[in-house]
Amino acid sequence: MVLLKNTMNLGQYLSSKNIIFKYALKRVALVPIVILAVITINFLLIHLAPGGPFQILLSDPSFSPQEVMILERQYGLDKPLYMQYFIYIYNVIQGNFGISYFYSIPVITVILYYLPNTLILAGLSLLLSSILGILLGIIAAMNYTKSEKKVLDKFLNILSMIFYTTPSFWQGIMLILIFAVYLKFLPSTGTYVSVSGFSIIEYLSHLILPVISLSLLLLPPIYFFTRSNLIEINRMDFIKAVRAKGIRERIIFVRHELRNALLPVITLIGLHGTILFGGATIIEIVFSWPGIGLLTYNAILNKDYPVLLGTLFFYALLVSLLNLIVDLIYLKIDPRIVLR
Amino acid sequence: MVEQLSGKIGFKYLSTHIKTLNLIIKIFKNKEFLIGFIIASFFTIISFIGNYFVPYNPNSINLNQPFLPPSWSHLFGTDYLGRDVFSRTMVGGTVSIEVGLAAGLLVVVIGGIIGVFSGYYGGGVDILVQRIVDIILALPIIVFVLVLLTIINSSTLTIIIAVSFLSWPTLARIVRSETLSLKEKEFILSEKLAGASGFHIIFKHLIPNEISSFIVYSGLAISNAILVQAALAYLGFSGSSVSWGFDLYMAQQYIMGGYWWIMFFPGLAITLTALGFYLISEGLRKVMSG
Repeated sequence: MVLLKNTMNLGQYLSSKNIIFKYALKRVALVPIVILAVITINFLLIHLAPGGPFQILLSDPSFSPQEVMILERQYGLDKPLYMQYFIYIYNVIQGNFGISYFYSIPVITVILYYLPNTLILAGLSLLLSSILGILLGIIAAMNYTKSEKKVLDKFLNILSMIFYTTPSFWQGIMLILIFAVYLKFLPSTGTYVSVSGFSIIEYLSHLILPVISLSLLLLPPIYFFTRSNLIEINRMDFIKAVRAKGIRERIIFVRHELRNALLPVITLIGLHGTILFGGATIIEIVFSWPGIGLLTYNAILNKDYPVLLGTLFFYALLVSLLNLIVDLIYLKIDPRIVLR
Repeated sequence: MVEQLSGKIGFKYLSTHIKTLNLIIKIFKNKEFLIGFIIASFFTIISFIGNYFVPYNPNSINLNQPFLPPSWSHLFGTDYLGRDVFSRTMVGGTVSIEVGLAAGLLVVVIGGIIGVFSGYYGGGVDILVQRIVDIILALPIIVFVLVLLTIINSSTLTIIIAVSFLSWPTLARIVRSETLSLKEKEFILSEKLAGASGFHIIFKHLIPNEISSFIVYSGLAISNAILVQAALAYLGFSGSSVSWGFDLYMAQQYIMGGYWWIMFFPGLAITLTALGFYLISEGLRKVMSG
């Protein structure tokens, strides 16, 4: 009997493992699908560009029509379209996004040069906004459940709504105006490269305003989500049961409410990957922070199509990888996700 | 008998009217909706008729008086070309609100219909739609629209199409999951047994039952579209020469001068307009969910 019970458990265990494994596999498989779709979109965009990808070079006097023709042959543009498509996919897989029109070096080199700055900006902002958003969410939810008038909760809600609908570039401009122009204690825009060379303090001082600005963009959704989760869980039966047992409020809060409320916040962070990197683009442009957002903008101004499509590819890669990591972490913490 | 019946029908009509009226009263009693409605209609009306009431021509250049601080003759001061910031702020929202309303409507129509169809029919179409949704949700909208507008061209129409093309997936996902639970309900099943076509069920039953999520989401979509348009205008992709976002871009070139008024007012106008539509959506959501 004991044996039977154990084998059943083992079977259940294996099948549940199986479901989870299948889900994880499905989730991982989504990344190449998204990437392939973006490659396809990129390919279509190149051919949508007026006169094909290289005709723009004809307006540049340093290129002769013969050179453009040679380039077109090198890139296989004289081959049929489906062949070009496969050549393009083959090149992208090898990390070959072509040569930048503007910088005259491989696109991948340019992007990898700018990428770390974007990752630092996005990472720090995600960290700051998560900590602050969760903290403020907890404060508001506690105020909502404990206090009669709920003044603090209402105040935080109104503030978050206003910040939610404030354009990030305007927030950035106002921050520059206040901290760099009027108070003069932070650098306004630009890079960390100074005459004396690289200095970590200067790098960080240029980073402060962009990080604050990007964090303000991400903070309201995290705040609202934490707050509503906590309030909802506070009403649930299992919390009432724990409370009826006479367990101290602080322990209920930390062990039961907080743990359950914070789990979904992880997925929210994953879902906001597009806002994170899209917002980073705008903020990099406002503050001239040398990340791939600024690179994208310069590529647009210079009509540097290879760089433009390369950055689009990298954005999709970053967002889908972030989503994947978050989903897998969540799967580890709360495997019930497969049932949804 | 007939009289009785007609009386009953009349009462039924009256009662549905009373129900609608009650709902409208309930909606307007919601503080968030009311404030949002006032702000949003204020800015919408101003941006469409403001052109007839501007104190100065928003485009008239007066190089003798650039960067005048706010005063009684120029309420919001003047910009780098001596143009009146108050007049420019009054008419600068036209493109934003046009894009917002049009894109909001398109998002609801596209996202709603795709969501209902993929939820109701399921199968291969559903899988395909879900993958497309996944792909679009993995693209940072603003970057993709920028690339699209660079390669094609940027007019108000292309901005509307690009923004709505990239914003429908969220609503499609919401509507799909609602459809999945609705289509198992008895009244839909009995319709099916009676031989109603899929189109009939979708347009006569599913969509009317899900209309509240459509309406709630439209406010959010308009608010988002206004913010995306403002960001695009700030980056130089504006369908018009007078636009809040583009004015902010030009103002930022003179930021070191500390002329706060040329940067503050257009940005405030964008924020309040987007906030108005967002509050409408929030208020409606609270009333609809009871």
